[in-house]
Amino acid sequence: MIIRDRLRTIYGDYDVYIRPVLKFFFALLCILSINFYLGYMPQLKMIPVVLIGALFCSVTPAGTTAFVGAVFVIGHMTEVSLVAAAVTAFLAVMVGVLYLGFRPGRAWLMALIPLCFMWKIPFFIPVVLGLAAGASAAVPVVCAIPFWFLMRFVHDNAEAFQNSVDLAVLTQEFTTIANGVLKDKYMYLLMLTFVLCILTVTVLKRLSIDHAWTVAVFTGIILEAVLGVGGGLILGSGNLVFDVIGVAVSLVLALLYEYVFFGVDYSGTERLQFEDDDYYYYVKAVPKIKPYDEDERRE
Amino acid sequence: MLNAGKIRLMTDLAIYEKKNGDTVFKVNNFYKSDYIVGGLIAAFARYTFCGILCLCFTIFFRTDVFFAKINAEGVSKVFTEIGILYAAGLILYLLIAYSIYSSRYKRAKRGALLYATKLKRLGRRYCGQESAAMEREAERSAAPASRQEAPGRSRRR
Repeated sequence: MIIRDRLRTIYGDYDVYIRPVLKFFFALLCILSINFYLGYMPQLKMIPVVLIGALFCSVTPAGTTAFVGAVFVIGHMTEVSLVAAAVTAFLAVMVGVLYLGFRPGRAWLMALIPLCFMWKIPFFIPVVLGLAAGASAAVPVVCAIPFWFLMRFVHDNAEAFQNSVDLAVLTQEFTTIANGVLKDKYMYLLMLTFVLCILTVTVLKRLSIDHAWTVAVFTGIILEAVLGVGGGLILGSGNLVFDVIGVAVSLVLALLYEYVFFGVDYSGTERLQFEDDDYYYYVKAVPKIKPYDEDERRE
Repeated sequence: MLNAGKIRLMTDLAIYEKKNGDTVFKVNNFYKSDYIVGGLIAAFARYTFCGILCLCFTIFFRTDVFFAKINAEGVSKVFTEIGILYAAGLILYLLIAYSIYSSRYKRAKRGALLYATKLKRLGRRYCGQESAAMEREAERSAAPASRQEAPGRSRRR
């Protein structure tokens, strides 16, 4: 608790320096993961290029990471299939224009979600978004999932592409990609699971019950385990070992998030009742956990 | 002398301006209907751009399927289908855009009201401080005259 409080104080004092550093490492992680997962274009794997990309993201708004990530993904895909690169660029433009035109501040989620898929912890995202952002976060999640499935399809079928500019080959590759991605039932299952999870967590965390956040986290994770992992196994698309480990890691990360951002002491709950001219008020006040007394702090 | 309450209020205002200034002050320049119509026009342009892009993409990569469909069903029927699809999507997108822009306007107005209240409170503090300063100034300027009238008393001070 003391460490958490100190971290908050440090962040408050030095956020001017900490933010760019965090953005730099987030962008670096994204770019390195893309290079590791796709990695078809050697020029994009060169350290100066990676560092320049991450540095650029560190001094620009957080959403730029999604843009830079998309550039790296498209760059790698051009080495395998021009059609795959064109489809990725098309998807990026559509999402950028239709969704990010409304909420440009959430562009960084478009980078985070494929990143979590690459790290095999996708189930962590909807729970945390449900806790932190609410129901509207379901839209970027639904938009980002097809990107991941497109990347996965290209990664799994890289050898099948001819990367020709012949129109007949392009058309053939387009049909292959469209059938491979759009007919993947697991993608729709994950979209449904994530949306349901975000909505469930958003509703549960607002309930006036003790440990509402913990209940929301566990319910969200169980929902994902049953629908996402179970459904994936039935469809033959999931990997039981990786999925179970991913769910366990996601649970730990979500509980860690809850601990860091929602530290309350339910034993000190106060229930108050009062009224004014218009309303009766039934108030439940839950104190935040503090590592030391305010008097002690002043000393 | 530093006034802690005033500094806190000014910091609050500055933080609010930094976080929400762009949206709140921009929205504040418009009537609700103008703001929403502006947003809807932008949404219409975005959707139309994406629709055209989608059509070009489909025609380029599915040329054979597209022209086979035109041959089989006729140009007018195919383009009527595309038009219906476009209109249905557009209506849905504009409805979503309307709900987003109207709720954003409401939120910004509420924020502007809060900001104005805080600004008023700060103004009152300034006025209070100014009137106190004027009183002090008045006392100071009045002091030599009283000294002239009663020099003994001023010496005792």
